[in-house]
Amino acid sequence: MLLKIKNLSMLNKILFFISLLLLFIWVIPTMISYYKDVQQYDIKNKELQSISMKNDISGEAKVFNTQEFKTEMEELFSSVNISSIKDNRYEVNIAMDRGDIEKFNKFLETLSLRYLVKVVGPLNFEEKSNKLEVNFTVETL
Amino acid sequence: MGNQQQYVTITHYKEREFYFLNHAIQTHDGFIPKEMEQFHESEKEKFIERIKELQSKYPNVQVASISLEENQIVTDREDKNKASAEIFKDNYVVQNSIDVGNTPTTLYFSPFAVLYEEYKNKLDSKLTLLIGLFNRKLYMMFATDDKIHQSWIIGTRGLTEKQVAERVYKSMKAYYKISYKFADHIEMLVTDDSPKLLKVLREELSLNILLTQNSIHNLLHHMGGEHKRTLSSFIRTSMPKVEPKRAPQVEESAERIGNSLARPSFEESLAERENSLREGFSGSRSGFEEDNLQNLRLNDEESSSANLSTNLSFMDKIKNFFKSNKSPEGERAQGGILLSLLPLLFVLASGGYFSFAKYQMSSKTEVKELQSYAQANNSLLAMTTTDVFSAMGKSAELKKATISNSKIELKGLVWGIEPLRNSLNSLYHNGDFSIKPLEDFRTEFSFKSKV
Repeated sequence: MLLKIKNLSMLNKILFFISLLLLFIWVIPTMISYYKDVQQYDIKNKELQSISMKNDISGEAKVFNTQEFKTEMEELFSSVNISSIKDNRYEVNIAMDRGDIEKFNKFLETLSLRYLVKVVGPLNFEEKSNKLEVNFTVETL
Repeated sequence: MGNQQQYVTITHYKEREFYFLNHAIQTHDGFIPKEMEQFHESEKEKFIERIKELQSKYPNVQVASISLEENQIVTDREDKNKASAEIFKDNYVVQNSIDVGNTPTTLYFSPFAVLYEEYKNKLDSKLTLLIGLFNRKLYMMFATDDKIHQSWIIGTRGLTEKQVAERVYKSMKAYYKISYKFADHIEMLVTDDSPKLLKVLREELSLNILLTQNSIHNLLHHMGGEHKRTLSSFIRTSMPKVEPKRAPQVEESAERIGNSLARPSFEESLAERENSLREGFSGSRSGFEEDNLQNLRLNDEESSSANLSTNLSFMDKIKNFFKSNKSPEGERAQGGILLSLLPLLFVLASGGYFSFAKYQMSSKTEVKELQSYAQANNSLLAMTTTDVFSAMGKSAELKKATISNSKIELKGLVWGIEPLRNSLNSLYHNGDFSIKPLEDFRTEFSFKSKV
């Protein structure tokens, strides 16, 4: 084998050398990194699936859609308003009865399991006309 | 033929991995074929033994085979450096060499010769396209009673019957571009047992097409049946000036083919090929016209070797780029470069694939991580909210609150100051709890703390 390589022309040797170099400095590290990512993805996915199952949520989180989100929230709370602000952010305003605070907490806890969003900043509560209004901002992932 | 009752023709040819063998007793009324035998190429010794057995069994025997190579062409000049046969007046079938793979052979025929023999009596002044389908190749000749004007070979491997019919039609169109003549009718000799092909050809070709079906063995028995016919058709390694009617010379020439299988040199240069091409047939064809014919070639691995009659097409030039360097050093160098390019290509392809896959997986993983983080953050926020509302209980009523995972700010009305203070302080030890009496005898509280 070594003798065969020795007998190769210079061009062939250079090509072989480039191939080996690329294999070791590019292909193998990329491959390892890819499989690490796959592993990481599987772990995170299983974690989230486990939490979803505990909360009786089936399926993957959906891409955030204001209309769909609003429709779903209106089934839970008195009124829901969503307005878009810059950078994939949306301001959400929910009005509810005081007794619905537990429902709101449950909704908040499972929000990112159902929609690909995160809550940015604080929750602002205020009592208005015997209703508790909560205002917060969500950002799509 | 003196003792024709005893004269036997043994015929054989190879198709794919099988040798087909047959022998026939020649009589005044024609030949009587015996049962066909088939041998796998792994049984070549057995096959040769069988031929020798038949040769020894019959005293007067000729072993005939057919040249199914595609590097043959009908020209109007003989080429003494090549294997050739005069098939008609000044028309010769020429091919580079005779290669029967060391199988005993005394007579070697070209499909063109067989084709001409089959239809020579039907030719007249009108242009006739003679087509022979031998071993999935179309051997085509445009002929009149005084001349064979054009010939070429087209591969049909992998084509449907309909596509074969279309190629026949295309061949006619291509010839029209050269000569501005359409064949008045077509005669076709099919050696394969394919009823479907016959049916489709009849249906697809609008021109009057006459089809004949016969086996290669029968055609060869016919070719070898009479010395006169044999003499005018079989391929010699070179063309000695012979007196056609001298029967012993048939045997002499035949013996030479059978014994030595002499192979003329393959080392003709491309220039010589092109030269023979131009000298070869009509002598006045343009490159454009030849291209039309060349375009019809199909599935032929060795099409570049069939350039006796045509200029090199673009595809042939590409093929020649890889084939032309016949020296061992050149082949080794080219092979070496290709061999060393393979790992490089493989590395680039696999690197590209994994880079792309990693990019996609990274994006997906990032989304999952963000989702996981957001879920944790939201849970914490929900817990804080729950705690705050639980702490207030029935002691207070919230008017305004800002709750985050880093701090809380509450403001509301309080009825039980101490219980509220205690419960809030138990949750947030360093919180700032303050109260403020209101004018309507109610008390407002505010609470600030870091979480």
